[in-house]
Amino acid sequence: MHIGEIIKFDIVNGLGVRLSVFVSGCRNQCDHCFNKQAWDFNYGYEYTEKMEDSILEELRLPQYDGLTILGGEPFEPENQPQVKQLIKRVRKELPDKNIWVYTGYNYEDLQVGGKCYIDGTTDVIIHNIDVLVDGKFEVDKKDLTLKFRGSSNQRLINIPASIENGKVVLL
Amino acid sequence: MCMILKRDGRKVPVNRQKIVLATLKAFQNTPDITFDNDKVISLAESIADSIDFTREELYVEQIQDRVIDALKNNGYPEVAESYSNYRRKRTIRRERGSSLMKEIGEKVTASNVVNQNANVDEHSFGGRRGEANSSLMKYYALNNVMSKKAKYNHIDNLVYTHDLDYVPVGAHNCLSVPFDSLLRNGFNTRQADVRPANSINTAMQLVAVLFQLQSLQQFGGVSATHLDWSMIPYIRKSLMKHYIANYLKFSHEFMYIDILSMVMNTYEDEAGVVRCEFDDWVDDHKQDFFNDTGLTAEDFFIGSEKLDKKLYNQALFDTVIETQQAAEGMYHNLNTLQSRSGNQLPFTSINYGTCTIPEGRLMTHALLMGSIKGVGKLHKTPIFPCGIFQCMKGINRKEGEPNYDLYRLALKSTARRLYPNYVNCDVPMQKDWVKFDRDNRRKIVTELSDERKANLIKQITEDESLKDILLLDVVDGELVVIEEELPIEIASTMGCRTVNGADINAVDSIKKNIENIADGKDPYDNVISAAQKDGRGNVCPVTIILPTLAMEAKNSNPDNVIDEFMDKLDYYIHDAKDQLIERFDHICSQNPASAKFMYENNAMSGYVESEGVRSAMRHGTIVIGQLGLAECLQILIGCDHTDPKGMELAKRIEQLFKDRCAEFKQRYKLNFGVYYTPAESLCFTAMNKFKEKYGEIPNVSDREYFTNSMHVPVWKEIDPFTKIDIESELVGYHSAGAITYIELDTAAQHNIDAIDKLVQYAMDKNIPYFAINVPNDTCLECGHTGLLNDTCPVCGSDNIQRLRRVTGYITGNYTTAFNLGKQAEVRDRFKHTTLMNLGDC
Repeated sequence: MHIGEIIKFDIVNGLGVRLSVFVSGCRNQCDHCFNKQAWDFNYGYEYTEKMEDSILEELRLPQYDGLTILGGEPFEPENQPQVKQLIKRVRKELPDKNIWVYTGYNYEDLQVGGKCYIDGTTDVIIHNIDVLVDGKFEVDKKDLTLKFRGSSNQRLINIPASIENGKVVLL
Repeated sequence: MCMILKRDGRKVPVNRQKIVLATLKAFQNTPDITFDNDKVISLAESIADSIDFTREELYVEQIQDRVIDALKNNGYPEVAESYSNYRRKRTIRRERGSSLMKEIGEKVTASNVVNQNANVDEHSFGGRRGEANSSLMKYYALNNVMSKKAKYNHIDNLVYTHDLDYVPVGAHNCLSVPFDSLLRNGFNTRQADVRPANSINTAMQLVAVLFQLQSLQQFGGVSATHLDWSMIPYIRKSLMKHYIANYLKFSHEFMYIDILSMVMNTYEDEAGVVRCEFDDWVDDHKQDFFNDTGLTAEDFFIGSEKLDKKLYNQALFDTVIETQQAAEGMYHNLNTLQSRSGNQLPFTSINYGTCTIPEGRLMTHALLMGSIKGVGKLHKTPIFPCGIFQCMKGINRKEGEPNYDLYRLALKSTARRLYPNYVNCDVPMQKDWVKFDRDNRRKIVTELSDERKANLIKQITEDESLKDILLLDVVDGELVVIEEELPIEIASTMGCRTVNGADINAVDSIKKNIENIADGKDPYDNVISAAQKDGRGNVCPVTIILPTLAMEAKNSNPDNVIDEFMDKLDYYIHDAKDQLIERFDHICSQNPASAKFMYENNAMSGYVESEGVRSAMRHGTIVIGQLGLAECLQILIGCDHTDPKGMELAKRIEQLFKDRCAEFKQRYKLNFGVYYTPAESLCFTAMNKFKEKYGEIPNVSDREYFTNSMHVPVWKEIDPFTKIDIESELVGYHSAGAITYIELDTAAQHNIDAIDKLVQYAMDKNIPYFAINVPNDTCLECGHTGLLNDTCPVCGSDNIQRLRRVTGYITGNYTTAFNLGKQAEVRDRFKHTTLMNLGDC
């Protein structure tokens, strides 16, 4: 996996103050994407253990409410293993920080039998995050007044509540 | 006939006699020369003869040149010198006069609008007249009022005298209006006596009226220091009024009177509140109501158990509506009432947020709702007043504290409207100021004679209201000092950042007040505490232009630039002190009739008629400000205070300011203070002057403005927490005002939690006054707000108002109302998006 950039003290991509990690590589390739350079799986810097340590170290600061992973596409099969590794580590070492993930796929694609589902990986990611922002960016549904997302088809999903209720619960 | 062309373009016939007289005058004005009148006259005649008068036109300069040449050639070089000196002086005087006239011409025609003050409409009739007048006043101040030292320090970009145009008349700067006493007692204006307020609606109308009146007595801003507390009595009066009205409705007395006319016949009272005859009818029945029910005015407050539940609930409902209307009315008034000959709105600020009594909470809630809602049809962001939320530990900082809900509402308003800003009620210096008062008070009480003590104990026991005036109580038969912080003492600020610290001259007032009351006399004056904010303000400020001093130090002693600079700084801090005392004395020499409203109504506290203006002014602050610490450090050591090396020197510089001001305060018994200057037009004009002299220097003068006071340069790519960290290291040195800003992306509107983090972080770091800048563009067609490009993304209109903050306040469209320096600064403001350096990972 490659990382395009990491924004410190981000207040745009999720509630509170966030450390936002942009992973590289995306096959969704939405029209009017804001981050086209990240479609390339080799954009940016290779994800290393040293980088993961730096992320954890930064996120540890009390100013951060949590981590946001976006891209690119965190749920491309090439990216999922290391996304899972990062998320598991944050959960274990920094249990007070919440985790948001942005995807161009739908929540349903990430369920058992869904087109992005990787057994033992996707389910671990989903079970360890707090919020999933899902759906492609659709330019005709673009709305600047929306919270934390670009077009009205995209959803802010409360993951723990959705798992508990067995259906999508919005934030 | 030959005509002479004069400099002003007039043509006059040649006059030989004038040439002769001018030559003679030159001889008379040359010192140490003996001459023969007749000889000179014949020389002058010969000069006149040598001029070719057959030409149609001659310039006056040509004739003067001929005179000088002739004098030199005939053995009178010193007379030639004296003649040309005289001519040079005349030229300077003439040009000075004409450049003043040129400037006045520009102001009168609004042909060179510079937006010196973003709040003044320089295009309006009032603005044009006012600006032209201000040019004349500045000229007069420099040449006829100020000392040579003050004048040349100002002109040479060293120590800047603020609001020069108000120097001649000797007006003071700003004031926290004592609303508690003015509303309780009523007040006089030139035309009317205004009765004490009897409802929340009237009280809030009067707040706007009082702001307006006071702003005409001075040149700076006006503030309310604890508006939530101040409004408690009037919300209670409204509750009582509504309760009685509802009670009377149940009495059915109205069935046989002309109730229709009474409801329909409305009129405006002296505060501009619309009333009807029914209201008067209710007032007239007040005593009957009290007699019938056995209730008294003291029974009316939110949560009172003595009242009939049903009538109380109805009355409360009416009171809440009235309070919300009153708050909205105030926003409307403060954004429409023009002041100072119609060219500007008064700079108004309101502090609120610490009152946990239900009436106070209701007020804060209404003020915040009004701010969030906006004013007018499109719900535009209110530009005035500058809202300031008072953050206080145990009251509104954490979940579970009584006013935490109001703090969250404040954050929501900030995200959308830039206001409120946040003042920190828990900073160490605030505690020191209250302690200064109580320590001195305790000492005064200890030193009282036993007889006076006994008298005080007796009087306080009989009249509880003395406790609030003297801050003394009787416990177990002993006099004790009330330690609790009063609402008038709670940390508050002027919108720009000016604060009132410990008042060294209050000690004298307090001592006399305690002694007078002990002796059964009237109090000496109306000063209550050395830490009170109400009735006090800044009298006058100066600002030291640090980069100029740094350049001078570098040029005069390049080998030891830092020591040289520190010596120079010390020298100019002393000059600043002299200039302030000079201006303070001039202000104190004014007739109290110049600010009749202020003195007659005791709006400025401490005024004692027999002692004159100084008795009040001495409680205000006089402050030494600074501009361009960042650029100064760049000149001295090649880095600013975002670098530890720069910070070390920055602290040394601030320590000197602090030490000297503390010294001056003791020595001159005046409230000297260190001030982190807002510098609105100064950041731009000082930079222009600097560039003229020193040219463009990288990181120093390669922009259009100097960095404000001790701020981190706005273009520095650092994250907001680091900016707070850096500026927090320098806030302990000031005593008269500082602000820290953060720039956020427009998406912050949706992210109250992020704003909360920043405010909490700043408060924890003892930042005294904190403001968050969120781009605030409003589409004037559909009302959409946020950061808009050329056109509105919702409706496509290009009619967009762009509000940005300047010097603590926000102001109309920044692309037209800001001066060029501030416009450039807004463009450069870095939005704090910082990336992790992945190359190192």
